[in-house]
Amino acid sequence: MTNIWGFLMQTIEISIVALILLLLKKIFQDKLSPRWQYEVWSVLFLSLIIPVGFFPFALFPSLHVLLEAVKTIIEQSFHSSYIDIYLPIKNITPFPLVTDLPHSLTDFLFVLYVLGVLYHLIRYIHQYIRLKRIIFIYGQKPSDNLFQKIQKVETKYHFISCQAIVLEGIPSAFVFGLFKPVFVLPKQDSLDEKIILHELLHLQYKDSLQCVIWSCLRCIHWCNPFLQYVFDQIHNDMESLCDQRVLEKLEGEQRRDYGRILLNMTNEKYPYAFGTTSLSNGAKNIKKRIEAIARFKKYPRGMTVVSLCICLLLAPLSIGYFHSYTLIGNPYQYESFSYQLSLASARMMEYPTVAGAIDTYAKGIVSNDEQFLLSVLPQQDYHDFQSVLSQRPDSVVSTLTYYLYDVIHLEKINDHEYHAKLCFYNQNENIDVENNRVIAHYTIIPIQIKKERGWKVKQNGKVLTGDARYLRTFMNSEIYDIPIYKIISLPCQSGEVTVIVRNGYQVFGNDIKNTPSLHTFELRPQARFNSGYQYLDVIYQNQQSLHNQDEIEYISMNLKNLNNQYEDVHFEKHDDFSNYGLHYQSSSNEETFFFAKVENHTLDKEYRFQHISYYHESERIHLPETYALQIDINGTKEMMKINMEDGEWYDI
Amino acid sequence: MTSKSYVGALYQIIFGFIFTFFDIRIQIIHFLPDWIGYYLFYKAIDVIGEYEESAKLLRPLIIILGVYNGIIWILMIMNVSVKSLDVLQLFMNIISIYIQFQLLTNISNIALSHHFENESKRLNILRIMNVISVTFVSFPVHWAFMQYVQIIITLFYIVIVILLILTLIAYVKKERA
Repeated sequence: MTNIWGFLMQTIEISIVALILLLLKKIFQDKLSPRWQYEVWSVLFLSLIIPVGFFPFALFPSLHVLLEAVKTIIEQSFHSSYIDIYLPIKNITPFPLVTDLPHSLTDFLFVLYVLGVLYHLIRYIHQYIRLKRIIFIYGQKPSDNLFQKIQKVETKYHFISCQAIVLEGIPSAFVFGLFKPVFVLPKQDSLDEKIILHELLHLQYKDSLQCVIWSCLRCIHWCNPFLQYVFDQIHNDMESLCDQRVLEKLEGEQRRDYGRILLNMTNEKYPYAFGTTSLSNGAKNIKKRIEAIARFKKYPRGMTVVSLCICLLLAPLSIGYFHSYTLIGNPYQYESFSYQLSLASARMMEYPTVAGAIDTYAKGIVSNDEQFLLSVLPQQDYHDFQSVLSQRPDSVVSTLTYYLYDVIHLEKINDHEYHAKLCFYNQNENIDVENNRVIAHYTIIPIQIKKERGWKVKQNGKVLTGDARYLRTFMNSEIYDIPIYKIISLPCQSGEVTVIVRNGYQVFGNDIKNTPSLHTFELRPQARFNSGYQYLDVIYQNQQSLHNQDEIEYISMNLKNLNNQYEDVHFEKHDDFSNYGLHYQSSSNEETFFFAKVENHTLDKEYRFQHISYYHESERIHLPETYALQIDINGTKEMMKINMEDGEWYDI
Repeated sequence: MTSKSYVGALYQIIFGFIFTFFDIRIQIIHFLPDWIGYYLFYKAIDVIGEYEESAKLLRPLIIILGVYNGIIWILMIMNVSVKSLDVLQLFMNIISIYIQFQLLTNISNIALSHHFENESKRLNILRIMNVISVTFVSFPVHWAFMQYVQIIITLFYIVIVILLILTLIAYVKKERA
């Protein structure tokens, strides 16, 4: 937490978790054991130590968006040094950190809050040191009678021996200390064994250390009265759990005696001090504990599993219950609060996948939806977002049926950056009548995809437009001649092979077909490239001597997809070429076979065939990275592997 | 309380479990609505409560779940999305886990008092297995990224549910005899 807004978000979210837990505890008050009643607070503990905004989830995302919008409006008139008005609130630590000198009202409020935290911490530490000094200066060894009594309880219930000190003037016994706690007793010989048992159980379960941890967290939320109440409840539940443990060790009449001891303490003040646990915790709380004692029962053994399972189901509350942010509709009235809300929701959006960010950017470009574009805008452009968005390519049309765009030349620069080109086709342009081919008008936008708060997309070069010839449709993917990925040239024993590679990735979905209006695109932040093709144009030129060429009767080629370059290759067998005629080609998604008969000892200038691999999965696809090519001339075979990492990028 | 009414209550609980465990949906209509299951539990709880006092504590919880599931059933028929109610659904899942556990504990205790030790023991084991399987099925993580885990959890859940219902049927038959 480095600013007042971060603290507000943290404390509000934790309060909601606490409210949910209190409601559940109320429902199960007389049904689940005190053990569960205390242990369920571990969910709150997780909420307290996990900074809100650390994960891309929120328990109530609209509440975060509301706070973000309020922050932007209020901070516009200030020049706060702790806050960037457009950067979404995100906490890195669960405790406050002052990073600079304060400049604005909200900065000073944050400093005031931090001073409050420090005040409470110092007060607790001072209290602890003072009590420690009192105990070790004025503390005395217990009388023989009392010492024997403690030893008797320790032996009876198998406790490890502990240091006991008698202090005059204290109302009841307590345990004090963090790592080597001591048992502090009032000066009276008639101390009941059950009180000793209660405090020794506190010692055994290191409750004083737990008290210190809760107290430190209490300091961080000192100005939230609801959480102060919750921390009191936690302390009471800890005492109730200790009561339960005592009662489990006692029998019949002894249990009633224990209740009577507590009843006698109802007039005593709540003597709570930092780093201590005490049997007495105020009249009101003791009343509740006595009620719990009246309900005491031994719970069935399986109840521990039930308690654990309930805590497990509640645990995701601490990270926001996997609720992602979503866009709030963009109103047309600028300067209104709803407009600020919609902008805030766009800034809060996070795209966990590269494809999700590109998909939103592409939809924003086609539908002219500024909110889609703002949600993937890099943070550095937030201050100038209106002018950045106004420079976007306009009038981009996509007429593809099953998907909106092709992502071509997708190149990983490093773990935090990708480059790609976004390719849109408008098929309604014209037809090349001579060749009976559709000519599509293309728009290519070079983009940079960078990781910040999720993935962000930015135009990264000049937009290219032009006409592209339609090559073919393969499994609903229209392939045009424009998106050449690479040209790979490889020498072989008999000549040279050139492979022209085109590929494209798509986010395939039915939202395109079913969308009546371009303004109603579905947002898919977690989209993956689930569809794609790789189109290989293989050109073989024989460069053998004329003498050798004269003897060639046929040339056949097999091209096969490989998972990696080390994979063993087994091609389909084609032995009987007599039925193939002059030319023959058979293709599958994995392998293509090409055959050409040489007539009159005259070789063609080049032999050319195409191979397409198309993949469509529900989750994500992998295009082949390696191919094996076998060239067979009159039965003499040579094999080579074509790696997609080789070759040169084709510059459009 | 006659043994006849206890056997009747056990049948109500068996059918209650069938209604709450299984889903048969044709388009938007849910033919085994959970609220009927909770109504059957509610009817049975009076008889079970005569044998086991703690079962009576379940009554308000069963009403909450019955009403909630009734509302959800109507909303689903009206084709209203209930996705945004997932924190409320979390509450209901937790209550449901507790009800199932406590109800099976009570039946197991009654079985033991009627000297059906084997059935009591089996119910004790199955109630814990049931709690674990329901927890994993209800866990709010989208298991889609771990399809095999999801399949294993679902299979585990189905096996436990079938075993539980078969055990209850076997126990009712012995009570009738």
